[in-house]
Amino acid sequence: MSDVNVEHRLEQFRSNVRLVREEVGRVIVGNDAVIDGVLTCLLARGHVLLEGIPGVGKTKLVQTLADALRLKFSRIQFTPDLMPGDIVGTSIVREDEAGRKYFEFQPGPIFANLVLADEVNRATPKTQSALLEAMQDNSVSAGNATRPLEQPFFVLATMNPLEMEGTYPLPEAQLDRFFFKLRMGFPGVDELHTVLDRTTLAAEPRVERTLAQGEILEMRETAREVPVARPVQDYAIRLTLATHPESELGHEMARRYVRFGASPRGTQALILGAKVHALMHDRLHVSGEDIRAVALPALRHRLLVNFEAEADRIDTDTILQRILADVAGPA
Amino acid sequence: MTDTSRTVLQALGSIADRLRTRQRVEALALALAVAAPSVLVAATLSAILARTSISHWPWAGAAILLLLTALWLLGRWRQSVAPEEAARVADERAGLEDELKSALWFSRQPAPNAYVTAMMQNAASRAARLVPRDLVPLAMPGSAWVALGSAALLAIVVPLSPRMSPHGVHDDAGAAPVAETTPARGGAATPAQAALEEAMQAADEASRARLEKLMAAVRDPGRSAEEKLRAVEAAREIAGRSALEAAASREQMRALADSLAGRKGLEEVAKALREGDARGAADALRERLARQEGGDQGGNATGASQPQESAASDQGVMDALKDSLQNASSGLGTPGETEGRLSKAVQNLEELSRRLDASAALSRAGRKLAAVSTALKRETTLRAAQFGRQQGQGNTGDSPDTGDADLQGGAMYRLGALARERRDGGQESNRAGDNTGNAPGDPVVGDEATRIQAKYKRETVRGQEADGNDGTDTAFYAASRRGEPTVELRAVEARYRHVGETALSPERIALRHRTQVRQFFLENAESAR
Repeated sequence: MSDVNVEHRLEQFRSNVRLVREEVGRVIVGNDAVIDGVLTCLLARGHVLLEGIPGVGKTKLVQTLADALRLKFSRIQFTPDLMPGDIVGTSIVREDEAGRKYFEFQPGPIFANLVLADEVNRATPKTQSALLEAMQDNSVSAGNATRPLEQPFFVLATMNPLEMEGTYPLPEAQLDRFFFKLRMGFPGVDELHTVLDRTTLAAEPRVERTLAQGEILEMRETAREVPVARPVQDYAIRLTLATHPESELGHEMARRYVRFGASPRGTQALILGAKVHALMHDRLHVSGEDIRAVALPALRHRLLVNFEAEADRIDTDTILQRILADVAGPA
Repeated sequence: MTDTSRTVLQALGSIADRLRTRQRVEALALALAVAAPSVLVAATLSAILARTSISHWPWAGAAILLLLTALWLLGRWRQSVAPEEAARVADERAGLEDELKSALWFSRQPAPNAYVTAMMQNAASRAARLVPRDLVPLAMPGSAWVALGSAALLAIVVPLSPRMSPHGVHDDAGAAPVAETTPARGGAATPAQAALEEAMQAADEASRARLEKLMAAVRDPGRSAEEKLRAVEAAREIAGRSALEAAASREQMRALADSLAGRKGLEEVAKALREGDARGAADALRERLARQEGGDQGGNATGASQPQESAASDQGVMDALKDSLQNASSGLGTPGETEGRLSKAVQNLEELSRRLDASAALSRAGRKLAAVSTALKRETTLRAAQFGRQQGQGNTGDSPDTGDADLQGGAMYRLGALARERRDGGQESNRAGDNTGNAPGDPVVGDEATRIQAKYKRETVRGQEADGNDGTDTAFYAASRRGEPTVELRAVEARYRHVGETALSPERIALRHRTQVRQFFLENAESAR
């Protein structure tokens, strides 16, 4: 690929990201970091878990993103009686013209580019695993056939930290499948004013469709091409190992409060997220700052804290912040 | 190697050179900052320990420190700066966010792809714009400034301090304290010893014996400065007494001169006596004797003879001189008797002259002793001031039962203050007692005084008479103590939080019971199977 092509693709990447940001920003007020996080996941071929109290705009954000991207969108409201077949689809008996009966696969809502799994922790583990398998393998096994999912395949799962009664918290192994875990905070006074101004009038803001499927795939390829120097990669590895209590590089906080540290998938998320972050900030090289910027959403759901951390009310964010502060940057 | 890689490496090389220059400047400054104070401290310590066997240790220590510093400096001087370090510094100071670090790594990798090439081009264009002089300014480290400042302060303070100065006290009298290292003349180690030796040489036998004892005290290294000061003062007293005796002799010489006034042939003698010149008077008298005898050899023989009573006092010599001169001048007796008297007078005058010379020498030694005494007193005063400061500090130990507590007045003071506390309406008393609790105490400083844990609580016992009526109440003070919580608040909060955590968990099973519950159900499942 020539230098001219590289420059062109980089310029296209930046302008596309700017467009999507602008469109989403017309509906979603504030939460720029969350919007950037969702875009990073989309472009790094990951899936995102959104956590926030009810009413802060989790579902609205996903819907707006779906509106802004010219992609097939489906929404699955997870409930305790939801079955795997309701997600992946089912084979139904059909009859041809000759009167012979045969099974025909009826694809479920997961056969879309953008899937909103709303309140994912309300479904049973059996149903959750159907979604999570699709997330990991980008394919669905139904009946005797394995059907690939159309790319880009991007799952946004939402989760409510309150109302834990009657829910099925995602196990750590399944949480690990999510590229980022993003937290949507409560808006401030000014942001609430803007929300009210936008949503309590007769006409709500509309979002233009900006990016097509091919453009997103091209952006994904561009993101993967960003070079990462070995010192930066080494920094990502040291950060990951610092979360391991049994590792020689384990941080003091990890030794005290962490039962299991982040997986290699977490390191992959750090590097891929950092690549997209670097491109989004007009850079063609990945820096330690990019790694730090994505470290919290990439690792916070991959640490399993022990009882002592629960008793001392130490969450994974606190541990990671201490690790980020203490681990030396790229050498 | 591509052009972009070469550009990046060149830029990093120039930054590394600049870093190495700064490293050398810093190392040099630090070495100087270590060397200067160490030399000063060594000089000071060496002066303090001058008369001990370890006086050369500070210099040895300083030499070792200087050697180590030199080795360290040599190591730092030869230390090179790696390109990685230059890239790190450039990235940090130019805000390049690890771009040069990445470019350096990729410049060493073979066959870069298009994205790496584009990245390298970006890095090279940025690296070419970097100015090493702006990125790495030459500046001394803060620690070097601090060390050099300390050295300068030491250099100013040490000469000003009489105790710490390596040169000791050089006051106008030329005296120095006992600690001076330069040996004085005559083999004496200190000015005090030199002055005492001079006094001993000038003194008579009786005084010399006493001065020898004092000299032994001054020479003894085991004696304190106060003891040496007392010895010097005693020597001064001996010198002073000698000076007084000399003054009295001169006065009597003037009186004798008045009594000889008008006596024929003795005018020159009277004149010399009036001027206090005993030797001149003896010479004049000897001439008169020679003239009178006309070549008689007796006078010469007697004039050269040594005084018979060399150990006699000034007053004895003076009385003998007065008698012999007045008898000779009266003309009574035979000429032979007169000659004998005059010869005797000459002998007395020579003895007196010798004594006056010795007294003058002793006075000079006394003046030197006075200067030494002043220096010693100053030193002793400094020590006394330090001792006074130590005495003024409070007790470090807390011993209220013995009354030796850090609180003014001791334990009884506190009891007295507390006994009055309730009567004064709850406010800490501003009048407290001595050991009996009656004398007024110092006022309490500040708006509110801190109460002491041990208090006297006023208890009242209701009196009751035999017929059931209320009698006289009896009040007394009973000791009470403030209660301390048996469980810390943190522990209570932690327990409460733990209960809360347990209640909020989805399973509603206490954390500590989860393992047992899980084990129970697992075993049930096994048995059911």
